Amino acid sequence: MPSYSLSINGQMHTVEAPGEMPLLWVLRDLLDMKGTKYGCGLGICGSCMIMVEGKAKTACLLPVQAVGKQAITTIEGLSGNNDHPIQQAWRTAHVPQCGYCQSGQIMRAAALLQEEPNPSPEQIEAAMSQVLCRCGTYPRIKEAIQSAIQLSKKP
Amino acid sequence: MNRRLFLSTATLASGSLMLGIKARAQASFPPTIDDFQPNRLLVFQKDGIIRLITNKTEMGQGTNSSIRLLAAEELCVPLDWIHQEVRVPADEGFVGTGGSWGMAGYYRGARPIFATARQLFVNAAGQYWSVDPKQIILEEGEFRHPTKSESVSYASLLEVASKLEVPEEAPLILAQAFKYIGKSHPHVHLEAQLNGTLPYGIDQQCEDMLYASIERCPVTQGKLKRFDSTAALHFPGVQAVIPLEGTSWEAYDYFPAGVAVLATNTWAAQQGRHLLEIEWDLGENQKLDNDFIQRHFSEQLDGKGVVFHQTRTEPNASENGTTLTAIYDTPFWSHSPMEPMNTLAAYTTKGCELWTPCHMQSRLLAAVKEVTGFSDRQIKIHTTYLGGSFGRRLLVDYAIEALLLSKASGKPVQLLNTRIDETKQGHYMPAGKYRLESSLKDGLPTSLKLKVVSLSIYAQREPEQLKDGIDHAIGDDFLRYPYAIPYVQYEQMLASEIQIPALWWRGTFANTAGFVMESWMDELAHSTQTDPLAFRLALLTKTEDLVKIRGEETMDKSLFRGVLQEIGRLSGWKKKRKKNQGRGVAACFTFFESYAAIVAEVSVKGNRLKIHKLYCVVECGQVVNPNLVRAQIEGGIVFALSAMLKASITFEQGEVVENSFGDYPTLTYKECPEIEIHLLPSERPACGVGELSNIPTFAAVTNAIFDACGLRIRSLPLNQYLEV
Ligand code: FES
Ligand code: FES
Repeated sequence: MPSYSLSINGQMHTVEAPGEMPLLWVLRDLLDMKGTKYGCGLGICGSCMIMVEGKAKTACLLPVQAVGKQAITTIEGLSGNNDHPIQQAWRTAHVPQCGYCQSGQIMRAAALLQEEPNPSPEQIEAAMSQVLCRCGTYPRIKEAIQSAIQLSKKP
Repeated sequence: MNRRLFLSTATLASGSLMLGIKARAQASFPPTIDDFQPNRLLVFQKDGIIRLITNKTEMGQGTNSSIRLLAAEELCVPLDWIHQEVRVPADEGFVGTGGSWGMAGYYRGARPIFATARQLFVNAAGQYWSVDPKQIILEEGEFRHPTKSESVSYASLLEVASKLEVPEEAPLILAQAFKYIGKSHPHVHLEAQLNGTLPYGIDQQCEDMLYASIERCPVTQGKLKRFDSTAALHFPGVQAVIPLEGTSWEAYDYFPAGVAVLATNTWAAQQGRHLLEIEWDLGENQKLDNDFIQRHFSEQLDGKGVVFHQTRTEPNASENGTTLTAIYDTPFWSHSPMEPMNTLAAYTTKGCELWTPCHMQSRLLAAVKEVTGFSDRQIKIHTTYLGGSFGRRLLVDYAIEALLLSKASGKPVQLLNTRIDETKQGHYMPAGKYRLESSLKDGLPTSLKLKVVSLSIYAQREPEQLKDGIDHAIGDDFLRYPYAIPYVQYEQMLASEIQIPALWWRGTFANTAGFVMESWMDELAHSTQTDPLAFRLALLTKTEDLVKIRGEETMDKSLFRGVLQEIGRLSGWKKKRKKNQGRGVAACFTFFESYAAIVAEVSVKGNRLKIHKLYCVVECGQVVNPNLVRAQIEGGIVFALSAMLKASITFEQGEVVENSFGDYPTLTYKECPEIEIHLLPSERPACGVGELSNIPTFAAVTNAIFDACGLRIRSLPLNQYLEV
């Protein structure tokens, strides 16, 4: 079985896995990092959203052999203290209901602001429409993103 | 169910004094006992923590987060002293969540129990100081007496309290004095939801476990003929392939025949499935396709059904003015919670343990007993946090499958459905077809004849619930529209030939009854060129306000009127519409005693529908936690929009056509309209809100479409007619 060295949340992890195994299952079942969620395995729901070199990617469609040296960030590594501006804004707006999609929502929003600190409404829509929520937290996500943008601007 | 539960809780309160106490010979101070349980809901600990043990499960609605407020309020303690946990299901005492009655039940039933616990400790403080308990002052968890300089706490009174009798009754905290109730508080799990550490069912693990994925027969009640597992067993990580027989309708819960792949990780189990060679005996349900179902529904509509509601005798035709008829239909819908069904089960010959996101734990316990022959003590059920349900997790099928796989493999097994399994092998919100006929005279309806044909959940799973062949779950929601129409006759037919697993779904038949009834009111209003809101209000004024529904529930017309009047004001109903714009209104009363009205604002340009905004007015009694009530209202609206825009479950040769969120779409961020909510103040006790706002959303939107472009939608989803 091939072995891969992965940089996840600033730490190196070595795993033995078939090369086609999606990073989602490497994270969840081999590395015991359960924060990234499975919702469809098809790249549609966005529950498994992570960052690869700062860009949002669905972990369920990313074979472990394609990761290489790229830096992976998961929800576990987003902040030390639950204090990323997105997490702060999510807290204030009481976004999560069941919360199952929220790792994906938070990672997608964090990647958006990292790429574009001042996103247009269209950019926000395009990014956030990649993560589905069955509980209906969209109105609060909308509100939270706006306050996260303001928070990120503060020195 | 809830009321009975609380009665038994009350009678048990003093009996369970014995629970959790390590008895000591004499009273001493500070306390020498570790904890003390005066009733089934509360355990007071020496360290000051008060454990609140509820029979409710968290799935996003936050019932327990709000029950905490009730406990803190009645006990007069800081909120963070209360630590909530879910009761472990055992033979005695029901554990289960459903019917939007969680908060309503606790508001009515549990506050008196909390209050008697408070009184018990007040009495204990009186005894401790040898003073009249009436002179005791309790604030922020500290008991004081005007003549004493020190104060004592719940924790320090454990021993004294444990020796006293729990009072039968105690006064409730008055609404004017509420400190927690009525103010917004977060979910208790919020922090863990923000960093991915909240453990759901899918995240459960134990030593030596295997991961399982099941290839199930695609047609309901088909059988497994033969299978070849050679290739699957060669896939790296695959450990075993195990066939499962499937169950009949009569079993605790239906699940199909299947072949399970067990592996050292989830992905290998899923990949192994693709390598199975299976031959099914698909059976007679192969005949089920959309045409067959629609034909069957139509034939039934043409025949005679059972009348489940009628007022006086039919007027003769000469009394009638113009007559209007129409046929409506609604599709099958799937629950599709974001977390797929899963369970970790560990079976040994001595007993079994399950970690499962199921919210009907008492039913699960009964099913596990039936399957294993184990006694209560040999079964341990752990309730995990749930990634949504919408009714799907009332069932226990996935937990039993996991248990059977653990038994067969001799290892703990974590079973996880794929999204495609969830879509194709769900238990569905039943489809239905409806015929309506009304006569109108002088601008007012004189009659309404309704026929509804639908799959019956009860006929399929619990036939003993039918009364004289009537499924009241289907019928009752039509009775919850209090419009004054002199002659009504409602008839139902149960499409029992359609063997598709049917299940409760956020609001179930209230959604479809609401769509049909509130669309029909709109049709009647427009046929008489009357404003639809004014038309409704005119039909709500004539007779007395209180209406009994089958002698069981009371509906208050003045509250129904109230939400409609308020929605008119909030939405600026009378404002002029711009070109292509439309507004639609709908209201509802529900079995969990809440009232809601919605106005939808849409535009239709060419064939393109845009839903701009929904206004919602709610009368749900005392609002306990506005933050979470609003979240439920937002969620209900999104849930209904998700269903009505593009989603339907369809059949070809007995198999579900749709696969996942790609072809069974759920509303996206971009598609979500603005939502404005107004919660009406109320003196009524708290009522339910979990399945409320979805109900009037359907007709509010379709009525708005008619207002915008003259297109009357009588069949869902909307993408049959419009670009959405
Ligand atoms: S699980 Fe990756 S997109 Fe759905
Ligand atoms: S919060 Fe439940 S799916 Fe988004």
